Amino acid sequence: MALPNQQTVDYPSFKLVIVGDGGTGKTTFVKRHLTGEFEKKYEPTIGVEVHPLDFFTNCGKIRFYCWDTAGQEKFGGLRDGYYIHGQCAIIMFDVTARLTYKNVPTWHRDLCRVCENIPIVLCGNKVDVKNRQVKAKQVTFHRKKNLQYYEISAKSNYNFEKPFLYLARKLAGDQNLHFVETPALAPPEVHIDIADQQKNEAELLQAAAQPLPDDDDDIFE
Amino acid sequence: MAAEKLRDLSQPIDVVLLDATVEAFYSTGSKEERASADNILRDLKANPDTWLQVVHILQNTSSTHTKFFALQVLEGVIKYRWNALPVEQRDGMKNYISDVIVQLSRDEASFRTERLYVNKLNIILVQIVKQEWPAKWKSFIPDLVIAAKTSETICENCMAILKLLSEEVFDFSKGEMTQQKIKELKQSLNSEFQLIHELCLYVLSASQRQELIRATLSALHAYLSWIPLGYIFESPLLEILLKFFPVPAYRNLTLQCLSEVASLNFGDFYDMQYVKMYSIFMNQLQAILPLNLNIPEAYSTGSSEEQAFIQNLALFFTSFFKLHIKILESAPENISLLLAGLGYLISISYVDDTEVFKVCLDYWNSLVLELFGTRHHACHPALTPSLFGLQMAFLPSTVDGVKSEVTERQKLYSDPMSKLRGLMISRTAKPEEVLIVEDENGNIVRETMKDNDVLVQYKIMRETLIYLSHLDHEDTEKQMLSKLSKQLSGEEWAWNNLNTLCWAIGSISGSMVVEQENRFLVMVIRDLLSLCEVVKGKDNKAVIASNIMYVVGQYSRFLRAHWKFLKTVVHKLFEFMHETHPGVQDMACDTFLKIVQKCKRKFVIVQVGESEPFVSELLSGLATIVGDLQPHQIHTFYESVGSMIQAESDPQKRGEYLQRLMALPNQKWAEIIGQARQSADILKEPDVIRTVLNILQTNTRVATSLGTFFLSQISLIFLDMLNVYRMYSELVSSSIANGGPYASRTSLVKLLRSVKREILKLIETFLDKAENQPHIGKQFVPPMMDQVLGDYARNVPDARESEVLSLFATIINKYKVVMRDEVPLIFEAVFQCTLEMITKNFEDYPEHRLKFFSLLRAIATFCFRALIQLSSEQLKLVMDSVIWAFRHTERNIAETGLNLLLEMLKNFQKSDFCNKFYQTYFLQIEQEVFAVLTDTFHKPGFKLHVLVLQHLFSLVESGSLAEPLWDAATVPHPYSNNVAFVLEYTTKLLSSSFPNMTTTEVTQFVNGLYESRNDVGRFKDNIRDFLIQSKEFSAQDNKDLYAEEAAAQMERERQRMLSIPGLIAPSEIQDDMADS
Repeated sequence: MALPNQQTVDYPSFKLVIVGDGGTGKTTFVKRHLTGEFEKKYEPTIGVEVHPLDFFTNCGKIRFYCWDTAGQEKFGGLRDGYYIHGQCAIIMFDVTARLTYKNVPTWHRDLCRVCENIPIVLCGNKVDVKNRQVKAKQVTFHRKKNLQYYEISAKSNYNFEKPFLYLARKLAGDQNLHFVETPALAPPEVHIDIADQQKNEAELLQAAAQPLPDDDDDIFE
Repeated sequence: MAAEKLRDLSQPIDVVLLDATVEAFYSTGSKEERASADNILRDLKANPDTWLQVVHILQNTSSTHTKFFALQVLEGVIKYRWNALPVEQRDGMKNYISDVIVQLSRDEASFRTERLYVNKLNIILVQIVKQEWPAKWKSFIPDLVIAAKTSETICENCMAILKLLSEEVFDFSKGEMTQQKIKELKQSLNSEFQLIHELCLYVLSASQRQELIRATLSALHAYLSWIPLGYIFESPLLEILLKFFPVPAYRNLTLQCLSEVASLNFGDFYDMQYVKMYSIFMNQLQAILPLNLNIPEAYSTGSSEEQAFIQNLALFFTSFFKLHIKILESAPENISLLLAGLGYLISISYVDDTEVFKVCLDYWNSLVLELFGTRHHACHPALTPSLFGLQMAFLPSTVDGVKSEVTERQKLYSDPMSKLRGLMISRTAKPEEVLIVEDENGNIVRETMKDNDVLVQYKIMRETLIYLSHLDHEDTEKQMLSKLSKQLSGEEWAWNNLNTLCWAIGSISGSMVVEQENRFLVMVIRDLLSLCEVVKGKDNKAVIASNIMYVVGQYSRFLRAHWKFLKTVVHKLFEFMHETHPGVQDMACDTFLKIVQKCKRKFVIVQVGESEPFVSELLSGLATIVGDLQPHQIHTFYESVGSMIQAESDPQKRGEYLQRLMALPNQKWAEIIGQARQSADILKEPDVIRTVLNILQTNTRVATSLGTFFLSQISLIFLDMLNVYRMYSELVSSSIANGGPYASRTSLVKLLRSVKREILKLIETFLDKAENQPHIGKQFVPPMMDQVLGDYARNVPDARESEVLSLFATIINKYKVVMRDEVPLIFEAVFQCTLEMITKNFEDYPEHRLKFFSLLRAIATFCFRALIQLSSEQLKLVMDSVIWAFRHTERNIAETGLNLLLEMLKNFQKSDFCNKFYQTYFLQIEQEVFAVLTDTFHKPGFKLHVLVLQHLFSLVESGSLAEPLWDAATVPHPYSNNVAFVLEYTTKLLSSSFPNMTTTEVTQFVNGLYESRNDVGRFKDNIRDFLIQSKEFSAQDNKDLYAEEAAAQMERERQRMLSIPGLIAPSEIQDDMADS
């Protein structure tokens, strides 16, 4: 499964290729995972940058070697040469720029011509921005291609670990695999959903001096 | 470093060294090793001479990676320089590649082990075919078919090539080839498809080889979307596909093919074939996947392949039903299979995977809309179905033909629709999403997601449920109540189930007639309250309470009609605001805001049996109610009360309420300001800064809900607030100036900046919300000139807030021309100093960049006169900065710059300065726009580049320009008109920039541009073609027409090759030697 000489750690590691148009936030996404910082400046990647990223799961540690490739045509370097032996991939587009979604099929084509049958996640980045141009309803490319899709925000850390979790599950062949320890993020952010919020609420009705049913009955004769 | 030697291409490349470099790149050496290998390989790939060594490399390496690399180099040459190569060399390359492909794919072992290499060779071959076929390689398809018949592995590879060809020609040709070339290739492939069709049928009927059959199905899949229908319906193809469908190895591929066929829609000619296909399919499906099988369970335990099968099944059913469901409906013998199909789709909809669900949901939504639409139309022909019109009762309509047809259809679907209700109720998506995020100044803020896929899913589900509710209110009500009773009985009791059910109940608010809704809601609330009583445990009760509040918050019509109930709910929320258990207070404050926004008037009128409006009562107890809340919750509370006050129409009462609401924060503010007048140092204490921030945030939230009516309050604090702003700003600036780069990260500076930004935000919120009050702008801007703008200019760059720029952009966008007189002052303050920050490079201060250009755009749009009044030096600075803006590779900045440019071009055309402006800037703008247009970094700007060029080309002939664009002083002989001048200028400009294009090509393009200037579609196509041509060396077709240029180019290419002895492909060397 792994490349010759790739296994430099004593736990499973995988080559993850990240592709997509320039400026969609590939590097920012990887850096956010690596150091926690959110980079506002846009400095295009030249060729490729490879970063190891470790995750802790209930089945032990795993590592993704993230091949963060250049999105700009001019800085593309070896392009599909970077995909060789890719074991999984993320295709990134920017929901605030239509063209970046239009180009997703091309990135997908180039990937699939080199890496046959690898798990791929499509990520729509920058969902925190107001006035998105690519509406959620319009994102249907992944369906016929059996790709997973996540809307993410590298800025708000929204869904930030989902793509990795999906890929880890596919690569491990274990649907129940889960991350046990959130990798350190600075600034730390909490994702609250209604269900969680409700967990913490307590003894509300008892605290109420006047139970609702009585009033309720008064109102509707 | 030894690998550096590779850069010297005057010698045959050292393949062993190249292999080592390539391997160093792919394996995990050190970061540095990989980076330096990447560097060398990238440079080699970019070097125009490397390709001459490709054959040498391919013949001497055994590394697949190196071979792949060599082919990448070749790919570039084929794409851009192919037609400039001598014919012998092209043929040599074509034959070489074909031979290697045949050699490798003839032998099963090498075909499998060299997969990566063969795949890349196939791509290279297809790139060659795109250049050569059909004109110079007429027999390509027959050649391929003949080769395919020689061996099964060759055949398998031929299928892969055919698939690539279809993809390249039909799916990915736009922007890669000229329009004419695309058309030509599509026609050729279309007319040669018969041979391909025969080959596919032959393979599918004769071969037993799994890989070959899979490759064939996969190739067919690529062709099905565009081939003439006869090949599908008037041949054994469908039958064969259906025969393969039950075989596990072919299931997914055939299903994808069948889905492709199902989504074809060309009239009713092949209806019978569709029915036949569906019935055979259903019979086979029932054999491999019985309808009573638990599909969600099978999915959750299935392999990836099996999961894909279920998703593909959803895609097949949804595409088939979307287009062909009526054919099935119309014949009684097909009804049971139709219902079985819907049964599968319902069952698949329960699969625990969002993407699978979304596929199904989209279809359910469209089916329900269609059923509702016909019913609605029959009952209320005058009304179009819209969500807003959903509240009326449906009158029993008179019996007529339409009606009976409608009821037939509804009767037919009543069972699946009932099941669908159950599905929607049990899977309702989360209606809102709140994130907790730390902003850059270290403050924790709650961020509500506005527009993401989960919310969209909720909206679609809500719409679907509303339609379903209209189709049968009783059934909807019954199912919801029965679900609720299962919560009570414990059968389905779980937090998540209850949440989902309550979201569903809340989603259909307003869809029933009033009496029915009242009855329904009362039952729901009663059940939820009983649930609360029977369920033990604090946590459980809390979940139920939240759900009660969620549901009542959704039914605002009910709340508005029942004051006593509304009041009870609000009092209950106030109680919750004292419940300090985490989460409860947030829920109470958020629900309170939501309810107030929908029922605000009810709180400002005196209700029956009461002595004063509720808001007044509330204000009397304000301090107690918010006593236990956190600052951010108090802010929400204040926004809610602001919303109530906004609903009061009597200005005097409004003023009084506002005063009472703000009494506490105003008192605190007055205290701090009073102390500061004694000694300003008090304002530097962190606790005081925090209090100031808190007071300002409270003000901002009230301004948000009160709009213009906030005037009296902001007037009260405005001037002091500006003093605080300036003082904090100067503190920040001096800290950064003295403390260096790290000073901006200290908590004190962050806190001070938070206050600065909050002040700007408060002003922006108020000025933006104040409607139809031009004098407000006039009144509030002058005091800010020095305190905010002057301060901005005086600050060190790192201390400047980009929000100052956006504040003034908002002001100009809002107050428009009223602000014209202020523009010169704004200019003076921000222009020079901001430009200094952003012109050193393209990266620093990204926010200042975007906001600066947005401000310029606001000025150009609404205060254009102010630009005209600038001196010519100032205008030049503006134009230079606009050009600077669209040179950015950062999309948003470039786009803002181009929109700004368009705005200015149009406004100048209409102005008295049209001639003068264009005489100065026409050529510069044209040149700059061509520069970005032809730079791949700027691809996202394409549309806007086209619009600018179209404007320029249309302008030259319009009446707007009365004077010549050329400079009479430097041009010896005058042009007959501006058109002639611009065309010649453009031709020269492009010819010198693209020496690879012939003058004739360039002239043709430029003339074409001019001729199509009034038709943006053609204009754009012309430019698209030009962008392709400008990258390529002249095409062979033109060589015949313009032999001279082509010969010169060939010679240049030949010279280049000859300059490197021994490196030309072996066959070429002999030719050359024979020549000499």
